[in-house]
Amino acid sequence: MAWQAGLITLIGTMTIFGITFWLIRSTRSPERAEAVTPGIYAMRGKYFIFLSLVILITLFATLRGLPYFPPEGAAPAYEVTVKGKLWFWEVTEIKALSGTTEIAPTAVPAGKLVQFSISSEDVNHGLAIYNSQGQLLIQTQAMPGYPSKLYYTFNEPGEYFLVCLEYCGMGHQSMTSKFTVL
Amino acid sequence: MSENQLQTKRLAIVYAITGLVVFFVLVLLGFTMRLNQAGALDLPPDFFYALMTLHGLGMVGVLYVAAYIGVWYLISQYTKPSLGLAKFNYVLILLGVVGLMLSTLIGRFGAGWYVLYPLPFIKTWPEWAVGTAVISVMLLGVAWLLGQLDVLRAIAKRYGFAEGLGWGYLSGNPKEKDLPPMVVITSVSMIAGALTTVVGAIMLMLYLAKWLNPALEFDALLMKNMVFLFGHTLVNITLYFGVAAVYAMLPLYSGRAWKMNKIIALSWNASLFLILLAYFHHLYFDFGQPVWVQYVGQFASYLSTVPATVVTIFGVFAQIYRADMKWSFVPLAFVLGIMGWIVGGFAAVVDSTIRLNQVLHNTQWVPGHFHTYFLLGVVLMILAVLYYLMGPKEDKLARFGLWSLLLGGFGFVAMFFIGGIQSVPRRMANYDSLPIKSVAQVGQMTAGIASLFILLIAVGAIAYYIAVFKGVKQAWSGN
Repeated sequence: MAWQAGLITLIGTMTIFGITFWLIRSTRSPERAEAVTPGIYAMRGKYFIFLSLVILITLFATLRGLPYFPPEGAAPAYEVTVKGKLWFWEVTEIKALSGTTEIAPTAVPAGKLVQFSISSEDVNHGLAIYNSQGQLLIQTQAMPGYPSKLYYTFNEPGEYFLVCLEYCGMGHQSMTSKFTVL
Repeated sequence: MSENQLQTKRLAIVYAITGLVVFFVLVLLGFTMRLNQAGALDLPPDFFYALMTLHGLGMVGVLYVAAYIGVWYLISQYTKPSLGLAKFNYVLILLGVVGLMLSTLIGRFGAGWYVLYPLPFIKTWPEWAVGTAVISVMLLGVAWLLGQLDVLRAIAKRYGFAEGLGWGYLSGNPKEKDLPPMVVITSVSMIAGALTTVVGAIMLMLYLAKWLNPALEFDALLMKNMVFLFGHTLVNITLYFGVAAVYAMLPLYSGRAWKMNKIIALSWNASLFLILLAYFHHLYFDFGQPVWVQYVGQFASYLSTVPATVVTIFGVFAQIYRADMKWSFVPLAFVLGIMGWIVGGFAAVVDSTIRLNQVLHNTQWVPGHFHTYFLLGVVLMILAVLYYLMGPKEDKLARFGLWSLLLGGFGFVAMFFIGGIQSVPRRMANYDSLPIKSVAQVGQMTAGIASLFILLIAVGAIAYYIAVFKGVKQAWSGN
């Protein structure tokens, strides 16, 4: 997902660079304002329609599958309770929810929807889950007084890491933990 | 030049020189931070975070003040903002800056520019440092609010409040036929600024109360909303001040008028609402927020591209396309600044997409986009205004500085973007403790390369400073 953002931004940046330098070069062959501005304003009307369409389509395409709800039609099979404290993550409990079997007290099974129940006991923290390749998979804030739930299905067994992504004081950079997916 | 105009110009020069010096010092702090992240320095984390707090608060503050004073100077051609108040504010701002330096460099207060409640009140820095920081930011806030209200007063006195907002053009019956567009942009920005500075002031008063009475408890989500409404808007209007200067000054170089019309009025009035709603995108991952607010955040962030690009960018097109103009420092810095603003804004809109924000939030992507529209956007616009204010005619060295800054700047921000794509967290003193070695290595490597690019930025800044300072004496005498 981050690569998509990078690619879109790179293409956008190159386009903006290109247009700017083309615009600067255009002053080598000057023309009266009255001769060029009607064409620019006609283009502006078309651009307005184009931009409005892009915004509508992108909003429609991206405002779904948001992290505020569990994936449609799926019930979480496991719950992992995580507490943020200055400056460590405490995985207090991993338990199977109704209809499933607990496989190990310290591990999460692959291929099952997991619900993370996250809270903070002091200041704001940010819980991010990374895989062992260093890819940020999902995140949420751990805000005091506002416990939150995060849903994710781990398809690959292995080690996963909890990293604090909300600056929380002098020990912030070492506020990490890990768990295993079997 | 009348005595009042001369005094206005001189005060703007005093602000400008102070701002340029503070800016350079804060660049050096940023350089130190990137060296530390690269592993070339070994600063204690609490000192790193104190520097980070000073760098963040300082940059937001100095760029706001510099952009404000640029607009204040330009708008004084049409209206009469108070000279006395601007002098008073200079003292307040200096006191605020000194207080912040004491709090961070000596007290090691390091809660970040956004002082996310209740972090300032944990006991890892002395209590006096908390109080000093809160009071210092309050002093700055008072100065900013007074300055915003004064410019609004001056505009209302000259044009009337509604006319200053371009409402005459909206109704199709403007009383002022030659209303400069920068007046509308300035009015909108000052209103948004004043409203949200009041919100910031309330938040700071609550902080002060908590500092005096630690037993008090506040709602963390409410405080976060308040700080981002204040901070996001302050940054946003800083950019708008830069854009207001472009509207006012580009015609001086292109030889083409940039006249007020209904579309400009509509677009900037719409921006007033969009500014106030877009800040929600800072809280996408605070699940305590109502979900509909998250939708509003993405919606407003996307819609804010409409006035910015449809009106301002096409306005710049109409100014420049095949215009008979020479690319001296000032118009070049303005156009490249607009370019940086749009590139940074584009990356910000990408980041404001909730699904992408899920993997970009609080990674280095975020400093990537805001350094782009600050360093390569509004800074260039400010440098253009300050050159117009006090630079000499000969600008070869300044143009060299501009290209060096541009090259160094884009290289510098590219390292943030690469770090963000590779999931490198932001706001970390070092990456030694990260258990994922691949992320730690990318974090250190990109910080190291970024440090080299900062040297190019510094070379560019020094070249610009030498060039612009050569003209100060003449500018001071009013020529």
